[in-house]
Amino acid sequence: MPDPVIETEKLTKIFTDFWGRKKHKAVDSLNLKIERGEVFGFLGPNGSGKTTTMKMLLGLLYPTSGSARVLGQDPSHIATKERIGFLPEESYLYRFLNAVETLDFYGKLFGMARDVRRKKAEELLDLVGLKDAKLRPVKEYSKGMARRVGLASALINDPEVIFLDEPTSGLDPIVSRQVKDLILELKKKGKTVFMSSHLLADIEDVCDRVGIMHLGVLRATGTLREMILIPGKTQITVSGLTDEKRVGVTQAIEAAGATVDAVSEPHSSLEDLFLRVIGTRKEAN
Amino acid sequence: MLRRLEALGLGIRRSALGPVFALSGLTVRESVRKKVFIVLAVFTLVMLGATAMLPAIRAEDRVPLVETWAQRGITFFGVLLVVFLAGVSIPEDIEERKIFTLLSKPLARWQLLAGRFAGFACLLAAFALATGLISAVFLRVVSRGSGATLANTTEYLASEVRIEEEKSQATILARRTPDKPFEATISGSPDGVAVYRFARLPLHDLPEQVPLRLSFDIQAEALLMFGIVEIFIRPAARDISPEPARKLGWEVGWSEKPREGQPPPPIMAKRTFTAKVGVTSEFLFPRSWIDRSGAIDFAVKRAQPGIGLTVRHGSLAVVSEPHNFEWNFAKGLASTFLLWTVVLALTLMGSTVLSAPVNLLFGIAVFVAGSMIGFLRESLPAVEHQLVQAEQEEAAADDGHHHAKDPIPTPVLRVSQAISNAVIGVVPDLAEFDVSVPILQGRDVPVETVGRGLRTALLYAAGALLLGLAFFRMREFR
Repeated sequence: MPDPVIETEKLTKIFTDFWGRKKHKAVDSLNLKIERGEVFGFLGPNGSGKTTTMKMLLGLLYPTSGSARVLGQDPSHIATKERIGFLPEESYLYRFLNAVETLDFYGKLFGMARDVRRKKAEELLDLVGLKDAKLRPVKEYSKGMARRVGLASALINDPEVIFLDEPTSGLDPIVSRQVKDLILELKKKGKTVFMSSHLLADIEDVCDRVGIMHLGVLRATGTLREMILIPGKTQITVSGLTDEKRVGVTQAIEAAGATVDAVSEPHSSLEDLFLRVIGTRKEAN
Repeated sequence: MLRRLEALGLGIRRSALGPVFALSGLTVRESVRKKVFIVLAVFTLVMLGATAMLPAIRAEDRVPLVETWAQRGITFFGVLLVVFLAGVSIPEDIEERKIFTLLSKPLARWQLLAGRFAGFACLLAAFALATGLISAVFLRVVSRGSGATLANTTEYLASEVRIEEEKSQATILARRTPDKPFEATISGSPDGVAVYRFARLPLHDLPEQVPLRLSFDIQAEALLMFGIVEIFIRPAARDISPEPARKLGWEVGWSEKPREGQPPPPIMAKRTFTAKVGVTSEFLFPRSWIDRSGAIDFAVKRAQPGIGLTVRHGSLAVVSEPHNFEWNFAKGLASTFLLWTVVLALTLMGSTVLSAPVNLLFGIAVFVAGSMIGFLRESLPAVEHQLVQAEQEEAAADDGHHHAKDPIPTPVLRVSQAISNAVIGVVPDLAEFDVSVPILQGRDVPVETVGRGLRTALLYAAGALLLGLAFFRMREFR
């Protein structure tokens, strides 16, 4: 079995005050293994320790005890960072640069050649839908646009592992959907995605496996299917069922020794409706 | 191997300096786009122009004024650039959380610090070059308009100074300190002679009629601050013509009467003048009297027995031909640039642990304290003296003797002494980089002075950056 891409062992972080006195245990003995090609969702309410864990995995915070390894190396290992992408909770960008200059700067940090940087920037800005605004200074961008520049800069080096901290925060439903599609695209390419969010729908849409954090402790972990499956229940979606036929179907089920718990009409999500309406409007225009 | 190939496919060519250059480029772009740099540069030049245009200033005073402004104004505005741009750059990266994105890339913390340092150093070099170039052109224009000359000379000092006692009755007090390689006071019987020996004067750098610059301290009775002094030229060569010296107002004679058929005795020339405290006298002497190897002796003695004559190493100097002003000005700017790099390195060091406003104050404090080190050094012996006195008085008081009125308490003096010593030991002496005085006095700035400044700047910059890196490596980003 190949080594896990991300692995933590009893990873603990206790924040201290100026005098070194222990104040707050943000992460408590976290054991985690994420395999190559997985999209792992890190769920939890605000202040549960998700971002602290991510920062320890990126070498921005040092663990109080325990260990963490990313791609088999300590998180502070510089060469490993060539294979990592990171989108922080908010896009913290240099406001005096435009989108092209921003991507060019981060490309330079990876030692990419000028023509490759230029080509990559064009591709990514097209991907995140900022092609038309690429020469505007970042300070003029909306929160969503800045977030998309952040996402593009996280992907500039075609990373093997991508850390996404609240990736859809501040995005409208269309871009949010695009981001989720992009995550699925990355998964198809065999990339590993470590994504934290408190938006349950985001996690549900894209993740293979989830971990739920609360007060610094990993309370539950497993595949999404395992965790949200209701044991002993079956759902059948049927078309063309009239009221009379429905009575017959219910009787047949009960004759087979099963119980009908509820009969309802399925509906699409609000997100699907929004995307359908906006999509139709765009086509009409 | 596979990863290396993948990296090559992405056009990745890793080198340790790549991220440093990327950061320095970003720093320059940031500073230029933030407009602080442009505003300060324009303001410096406007102020420079204004000094020359003021109608109230006499034409002949304009050149020194512009020169003073060019040297000191540029230094000051450069320090402002360091404090207001470099001092807040890393704290802003941290406070605005851009550091998260930066450090998640393959950028080591030392590369971030070095990149910022290199970027600001480039910016300061551009600032020095631009303002220096414009100032130099401007000074030429102003000097042409006011008729003042812009030239500077080198003062060559004796390779050896000694006191000769013709008889034993003279009282000679001679002392040497690191700052004053030679100092002596001749008083009493009029037999002490101070001899200045020049061994290798560069003849190519001296005019045909060489200026000799003299400045002596006189101790006289009844508060007279002047006295009559004799100066002798004692050339090494014997077969030289007395005429050039006579033409320049020297009395020429021989140490003994020349005899026919004998080699000529040593020739010498004498001049009597009134030396005044704080006044520099200048006489010309013929270059032909200097030996081809560059050797010549001068002797100084009192013509009045009642006065005391204090002679120092720098009291007698042979002055070179006028040199190019721009080269001297450039050396001054180079020294200023070194001063900036020291303040820059210390400010960046502070920025690894301090917030932006606190670091701004730290940068200003470094500049102010560094400029006052000379004053602190001078006042330290006085504190030590007071401490000894206070201890003696305390001991006397313990023995039941009279206690002095309101002495400064010994602990206060001790704390003052400890603080002074700590500041002197840690803060760089920025006066070492200040060469504005010789420039303004029309004297050449020795290349060695700039070299010494470079050594100090390199030591301080390296030390400060290493210490900053140690702090930065320990730092966490929440």
